[in-house]
Amino acid sequence: MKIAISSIGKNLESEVDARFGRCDYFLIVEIEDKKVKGFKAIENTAKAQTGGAGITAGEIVANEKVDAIITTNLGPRAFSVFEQFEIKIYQGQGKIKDVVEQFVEGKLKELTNATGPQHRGLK
Amino acid sequence: MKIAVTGGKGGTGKSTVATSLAIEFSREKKTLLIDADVECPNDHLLLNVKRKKYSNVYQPIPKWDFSKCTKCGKCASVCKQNAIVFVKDKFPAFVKEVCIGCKACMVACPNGAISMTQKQIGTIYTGKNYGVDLVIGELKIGELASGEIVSAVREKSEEISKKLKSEIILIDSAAGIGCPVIASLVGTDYIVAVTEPTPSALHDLKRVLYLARHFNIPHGIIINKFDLEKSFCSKIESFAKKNKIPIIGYLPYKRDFVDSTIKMKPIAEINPKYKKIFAEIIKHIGVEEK
Repeated sequence: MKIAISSIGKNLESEVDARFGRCDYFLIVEIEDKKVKGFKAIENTAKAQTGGAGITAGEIVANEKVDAIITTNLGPRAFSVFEQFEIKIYQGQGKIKDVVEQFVEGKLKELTNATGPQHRGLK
Repeated sequence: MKIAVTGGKGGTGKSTVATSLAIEFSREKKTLLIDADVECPNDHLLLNVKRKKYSNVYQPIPKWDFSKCTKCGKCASVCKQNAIVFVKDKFPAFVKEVCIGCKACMVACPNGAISMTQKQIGTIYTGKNYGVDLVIGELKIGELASGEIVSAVREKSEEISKKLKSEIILIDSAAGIGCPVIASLVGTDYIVAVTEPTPSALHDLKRVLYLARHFNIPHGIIINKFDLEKSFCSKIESFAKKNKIPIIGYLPYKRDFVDSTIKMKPIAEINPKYKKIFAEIIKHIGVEEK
């Protein structure tokens, strides 16, 4: 399966970016047999948008055909996009590597609501 | 006669002027005031009006029939608001909060899979005090289409003013020069631009008067707090003179205005001397409009 993680850097040693819509990168991680099979970093071009960053970021990630995303916080609009595309959202923080491990072990909490109002990533 | 009260910069005193002019007008003529500052209407506070709900304002939003949808993505590609997200092989996702109801998606869909439903984007209220009939437009929190609300509240006001036989319709606009302000200015007979002696106010005044000229509507300037910075006040005066725009009134910087807000009483009730100032302004408007 494929998951996307909001990230500060471009590799597995990077930290999870606490903001979804305005994070720097998305790390697309491929998991097979509970192990990381491969990964790539894509730039979040929605980051500098004046508005609607969550929606565009959601589109970028959904285009990668991921099954789930991991982030710390995301707003109502991005949440709505993932909900409609049936992409699951999990909450995690810390090093990407560790978060992926926690995800594989089923230790991450699934988000069933947006964690805050829109535009929080701007503050 | 329809008069818009605007100004460009926020906080220059548009609502104070609009409510005071409405009260002064109403002494001789049936007057209707429209609060078109729909993102945060407050004329009812200044006039101490308990407002009553009159009607809701709705906006069209698309609805998909996925049995007809071929996942072509055309709806998303024409959406300027980015309210429709398309990913290959999936049905489009729709973020209704961002939709402004332009219907482009419905037109673009080659399969007739999109029809229109609606969402509530605002409310219209009415009330009356000090002889002034008030109609208020209010945008729902989180919604974007403020111009739509202004158009809707103006449309309803036509209905109401016919019933009331209003002779004067005053429109208190929002700050800025955007959609809601344009919707407030169109079709009026006179524009009152309220400004103050600060650089940002003069800058925004020029922009809003550009709009007034564009629509070919006669206009005049009121300088509020004129005595706050006399040297800058003269800059506004020379701008007005150069562009042949009449200055139809001056309002002083006084504690009376603070008391008016706190006590929820019109400024002329706090200090009767303002009654004369606004009566003079009305005389000016009458002359300039012709």
